[in-house]
Amino acid sequence: MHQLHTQTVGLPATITFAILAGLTVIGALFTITRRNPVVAVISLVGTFFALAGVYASLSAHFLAILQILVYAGAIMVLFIFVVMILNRDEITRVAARGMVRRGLGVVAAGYVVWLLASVVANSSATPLLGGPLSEPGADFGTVASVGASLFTDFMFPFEAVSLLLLVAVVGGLVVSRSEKQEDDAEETARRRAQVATEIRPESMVGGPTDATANHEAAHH
Amino acid sequence: MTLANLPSFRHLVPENILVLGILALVGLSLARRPASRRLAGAIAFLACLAALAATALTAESQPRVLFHGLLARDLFGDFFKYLGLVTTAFVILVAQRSRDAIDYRNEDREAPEFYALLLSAALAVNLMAAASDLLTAYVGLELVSVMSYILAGFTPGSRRSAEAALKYVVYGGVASGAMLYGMSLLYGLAASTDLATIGRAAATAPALPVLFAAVLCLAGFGFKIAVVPFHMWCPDVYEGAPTPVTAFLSVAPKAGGFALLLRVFGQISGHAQGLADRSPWLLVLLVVAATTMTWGNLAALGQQNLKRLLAYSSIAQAGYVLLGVAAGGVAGQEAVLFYLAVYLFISLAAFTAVAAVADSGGGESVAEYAGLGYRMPLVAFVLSVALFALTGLPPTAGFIGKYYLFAALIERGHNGGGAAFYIVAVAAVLNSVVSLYYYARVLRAMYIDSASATHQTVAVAAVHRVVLVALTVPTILLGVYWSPLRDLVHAAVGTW
Amino acid sequence: MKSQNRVVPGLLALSICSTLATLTISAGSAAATPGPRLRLEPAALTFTHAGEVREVTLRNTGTNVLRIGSTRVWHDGSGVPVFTADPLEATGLLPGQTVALHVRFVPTAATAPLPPGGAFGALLVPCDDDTLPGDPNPGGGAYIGSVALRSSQGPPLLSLIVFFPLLGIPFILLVPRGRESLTRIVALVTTAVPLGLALWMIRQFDPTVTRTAGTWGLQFVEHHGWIRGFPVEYFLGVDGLSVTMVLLTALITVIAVGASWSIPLTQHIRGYFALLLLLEVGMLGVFCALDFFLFYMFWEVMLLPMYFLIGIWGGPRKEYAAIKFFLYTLAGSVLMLLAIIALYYSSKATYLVDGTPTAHTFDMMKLAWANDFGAESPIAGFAFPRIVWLAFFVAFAIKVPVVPLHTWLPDAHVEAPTAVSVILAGVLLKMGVYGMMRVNLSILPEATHWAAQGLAVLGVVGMLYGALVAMAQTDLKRLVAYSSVSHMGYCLLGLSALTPTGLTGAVAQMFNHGTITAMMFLLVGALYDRTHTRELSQFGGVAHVMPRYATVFGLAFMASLGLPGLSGFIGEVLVFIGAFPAWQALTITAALSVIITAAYHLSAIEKVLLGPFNERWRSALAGFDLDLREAATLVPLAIIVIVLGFWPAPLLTTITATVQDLLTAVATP
Repeated sequence: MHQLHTQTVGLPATITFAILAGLTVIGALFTITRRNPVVAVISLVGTFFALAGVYASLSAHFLAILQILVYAGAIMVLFIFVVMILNRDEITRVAARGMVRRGLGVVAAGYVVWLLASVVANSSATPLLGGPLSEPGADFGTVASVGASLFTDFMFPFEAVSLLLLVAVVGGLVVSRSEKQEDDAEETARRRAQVATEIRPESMVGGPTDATANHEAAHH
Repeated sequence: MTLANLPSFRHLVPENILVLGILALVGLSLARRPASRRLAGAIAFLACLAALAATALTAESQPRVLFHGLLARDLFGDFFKYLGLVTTAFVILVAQRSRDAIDYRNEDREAPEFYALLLSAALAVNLMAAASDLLTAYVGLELVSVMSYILAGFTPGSRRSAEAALKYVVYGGVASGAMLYGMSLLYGLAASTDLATIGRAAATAPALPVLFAAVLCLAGFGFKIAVVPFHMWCPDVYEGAPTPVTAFLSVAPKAGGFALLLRVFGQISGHAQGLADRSPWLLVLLVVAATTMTWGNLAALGQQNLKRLLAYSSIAQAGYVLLGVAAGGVAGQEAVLFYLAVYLFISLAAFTAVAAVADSGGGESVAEYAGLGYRMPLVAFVLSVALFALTGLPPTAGFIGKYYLFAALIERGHNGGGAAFYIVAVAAVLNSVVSLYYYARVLRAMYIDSASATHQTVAVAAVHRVVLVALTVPTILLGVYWSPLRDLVHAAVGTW
Repeated sequence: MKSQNRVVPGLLALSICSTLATLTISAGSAAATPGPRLRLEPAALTFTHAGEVREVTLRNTGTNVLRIGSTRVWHDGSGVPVFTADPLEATGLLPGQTVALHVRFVPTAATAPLPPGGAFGALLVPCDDDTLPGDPNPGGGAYIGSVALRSSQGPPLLSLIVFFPLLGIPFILLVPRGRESLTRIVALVTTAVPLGLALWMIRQFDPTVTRTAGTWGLQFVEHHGWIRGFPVEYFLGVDGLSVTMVLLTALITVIAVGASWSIPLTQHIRGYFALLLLLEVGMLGVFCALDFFLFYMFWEVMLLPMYFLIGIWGGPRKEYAAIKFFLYTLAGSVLMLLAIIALYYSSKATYLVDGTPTAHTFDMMKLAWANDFGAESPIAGFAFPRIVWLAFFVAFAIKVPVVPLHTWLPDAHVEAPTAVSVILAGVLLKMGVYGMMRVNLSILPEATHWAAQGLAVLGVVGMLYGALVAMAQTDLKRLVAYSSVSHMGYCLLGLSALTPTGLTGAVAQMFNHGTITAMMFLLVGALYDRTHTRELSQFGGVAHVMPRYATVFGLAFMASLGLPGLSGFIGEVLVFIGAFPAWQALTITAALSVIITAAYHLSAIEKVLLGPFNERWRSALAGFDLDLREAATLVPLAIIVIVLGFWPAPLLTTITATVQDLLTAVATP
């Protein structure tokens, strides 16, 4: 995309893009390297702002505003989601274990980086763009045109995404409800065992599942 | 022919039925009285069957393009819809009596929500099956991912389940990011998200960027089908998720992932020099497939937990199926579709057996399956058939599926594909020998190491019995007479 | 509530099934599109007597003009043409128009109205209906409709023999609790019927039929389509080689059921017999199947029951032995699968038995007689026929077993229950050699010439190594197991000579070794049942207390060491005579093994039967000579061993014609 801009708008746009892109990348790096979740999320917000800047520089003003509005809101949801799953202030390290696993990951990542490097190195000889893009029309990026394409050409994904959000909200509620009940896990386990005994007496002689359940409950 | 929005809905009946089912279930959960598990299950099951029937009845051999080119309606997509819906229907039944999904002993917790999420995941697989545009492909993929994250963490109060969900989210996010990057490059090449347009643009585009974009997209699809190196989530999630959800994850999202893989790369690789014969792309696919099956099988050797063992085995199976994608051509695609259909029955049977054992109070470790052949003869028999089918032994359908995959490889090698195809074929068959070793450990526990275990017969829930039999009969029948499935696959691949 | 619990899921499952059925139907109907459509009526013609004339109707059921090329009749197999049809020149059919053609059945020999093995052919109608299955020249626009022609076949004898044991399985599983002894009777009956049928078949078998006479020299042929759009066929048939093996299998299985009486009824006896019957289906199927796909399926079907039979009912190290057997054989057979696929894709275009054109074929007879794989492009630098030959050879060599791939065999034999050892040694080992003859020799003759010397060396190594290791054994069952390795080496040597005498010797050795080793394992089992040990040093003087046992034991071991006058001698001497012209030095070296074999056999006889009686076993052995059941399993085998020793003609004449055919295949690649 930026090539197009360099051709049409020139040096100032390139500098703007470089700054915004740099901010995006730095924010993203902070997001994944900070141990404090709050700092990480704030860096993410910074990334989104810089991205909004990129949109704006591409004359997609409405999209830029949406980026700020929606992600500022969505960030909050994400934040809550993360805190809920992470069990308050406990941080679970999610890392690939084992040399082979890491080795496989490194090989795959190395191949992708090598590919990227070769693409960039050859970008002057073989440009990424298939052909010249048409100039954006006068109404490009306006609320009206975005709305029109959302409700005509792209109505289907729009509806699909709304369904996704609906069900995700339902799912989020369910997960958070079970988190709340986790506190009563020990009692639940006892009640479970009781119910199971009533339903199915023959299987209860030292049934391993219930032993596990109790064990699990003891952990919390 | 391309249809506009309103006329398109006529060809979207199955999806609409699913949406209605989801809304009904959400409504049910909002009702004040705690909803019954039976009612919720019945609604979900009927919605699933109705969608299945609607898909079959509205199927047309003439392919159509819906919603200005965003969705395709063809027999190929319909085939994957059948896979997703049949899987969902079976999983709904299994979940009726599973302790870890909706605990029926504990006032039918969250049954409507569980089923609503399951139906949404089925809907997402439908979208993946029909996507003919990067946008719908991505929406479908994300929908199935989000539903999977939530479903994997559904066991209330289980740390293991929550950890599984979290790992899934993190790995899934990375994979989606890589895929989006690849998709943006494809968009840059074609100035369009339409797959057919991208395919035409890729034909004239330089090789290297196309290859780069394809490799990045492979990350997203590879995450859904759990191939190395995007498989890290798989063992933890399969082990931690409720067993019916594991059963679902082992089949439906994989089928969706392969549908996308075939459609996207089927459109592109036909013309693009970046992905053509003897290009690095083919090597990437072959290496990924070979690594996946080898790593999956080797890692499974040491597993003690059966769900984890089956998780690694499913990674290996994904590697086998990827061989079909690498072999390409009609033979390769037919092999992929055939194997996925067969794998549906096998994998669901194996996990239903696990669920049935857990339901009767048994554990998940292989050691605890000692003497199962005498305590629960039906479950042990079904599990044995499933394991033999996973190994690829006749007379199970697993053999026929593997045959088609190997045959596709050899045919490609024979028709000038080069020695790489023969070498990978040899690696694949030797892999099935390795896999036999750990499957046989389970068999040995169930039938041979039975001295210490009790031989008292244990009852199996009626619904589980029905599901187990309903899954095993096709596994064996299709191994002896597979004309019906072969016709279905042939028609599906023939349409596009 | 409880009953609802069962009904609802049942109904739901039913609805799933019906939906799936709908899918299939709709997929089928969705494929119909307008165009020229050829319908041939009837789709198949069966002729019952010579000179019979039947009518075929060609009808255009489509919407466009159907163009038809000149029809012709195609004959499957190697026989002379027996079907003729009215000639029809190229023509066009309007929609709805019909043409009638007459087809005649005119076998050449008036005395034998039906060719032995039956006649198979098809009336081929080239046309432009592009919905017909198969396309001989893709893109050429020509499609072929066909009417299957065949002479009337007798009852499906081979199918009955192969699948009859399956019928017993449900009965065995349904035997009520507490009446487990019934399972033995059911198993005995269901294995006796195939034996009876096999005996009847061998009486009907015409040993003079050669490849030129009918369907590739096969008899009792059953040849039908199987899967739409995939050229696998249900193709069973026997020649001299397989008919002896079928008889051996049916016989040994009955003996094995007799030997299974010692399995305690409380030890999951239903499962035991069910698996034994399944095993028999696999074994018989391998010897009868002539479609490679079917052959492979039967080959693999044997693995499962064998794994469980050793694993559940075996000795102390049964898990190890069972999984070792399973992994070894599977490793071999998966390579064979790849080799089968490679052969398939290299085969020439031909027709299925119903006349459907196919680009490639799994038909083992067509692969052997109508294809030459010498010109195929090499794989990774190796000549195609050789690499394929090696893949097949490894698969079969593991089964034989050829040293150094034999290490599974002693473990499996020692741990397996007696009946399973009997089957293992009596039948399963023969499959390896059978496979080499059926596949390596006849399908890949060039590569066989290339590898013949290697084969001979491996055979001699096996003979000597097996004999030497057997000599060092202290466990009687292990000794017998290693003697099998040595004796199967004879088969390999006979095979490698590629002379009529050598091949005949190899086949005779297969049959005779099957009966003799079965006896030896039965005898070891009988001794083990009484004393629970097989240590040679523990025995001695058994002849004093068990005279009948001693007689049979002496007979079996003498037959095994190759005493003239007993059947073991025939195979060995034929192998030596046949191999000598081809490999003189090797054959002389191999003759050493005769001496070693005699040494360890005689030493075993001496250690078990002669010398002072070990008083420890007085209570176990004295007065417990062979009982009626044991005698019933041993005596028939003993009779065969003696009769074939003096009068081997029935066995040798049965296989002569087939051996000649095999040699023609090797001589003219």
